[in-house]
Amino acid sequence: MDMTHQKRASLAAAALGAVTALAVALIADWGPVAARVPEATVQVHELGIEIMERSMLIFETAGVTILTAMIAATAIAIRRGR
Amino acid sequence: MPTLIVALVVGAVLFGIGLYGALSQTNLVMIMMGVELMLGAAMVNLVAFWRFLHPEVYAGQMFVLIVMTVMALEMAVGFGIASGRFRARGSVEMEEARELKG
Repeated sequence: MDMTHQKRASLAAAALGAVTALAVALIADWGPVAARVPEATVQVHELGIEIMERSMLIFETAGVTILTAMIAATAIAIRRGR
Repeated sequence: MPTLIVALVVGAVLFGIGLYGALSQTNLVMIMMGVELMLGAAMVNLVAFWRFLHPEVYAGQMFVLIVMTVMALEMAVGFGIASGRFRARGSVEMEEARELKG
């Protein structure tokens, strides 16, 4: 049983998207590459600082959004007593 | 540089596969899988950019966390809709959901 539709158009769109992304990846000049990254413990510490200081509002907004989505998904999914 | 390119190529291929899945599949769950693949490709690219271009700026990792949040939200709401529709119509085939067309 074929569970696909508009296969050719989808393939064309997917190929176009992938080729465009590949072209950008290969053609663009990405500049110098960092040779090494901070240690794992430093990364965790710095990420914590980033989340709790500079990106605090984003993090809080994401939390409230997740809560809203959980409530909405539960409300949609529960069986309605009719 | 080659390692950055490898990650970007993997991201591009993943994005293409996801786009094909999102456009061609008729099952709602499979469509969501396609969208998840596209978001996964974005995450691969973001992590690669952070690791190879700006490892000292942690906003890149923050962006990855936000994308992960979007993935979770999409799955939660999508599966809620899928289970509601399956209960109402007995199917999550989007070919049969003509009434959702704008």
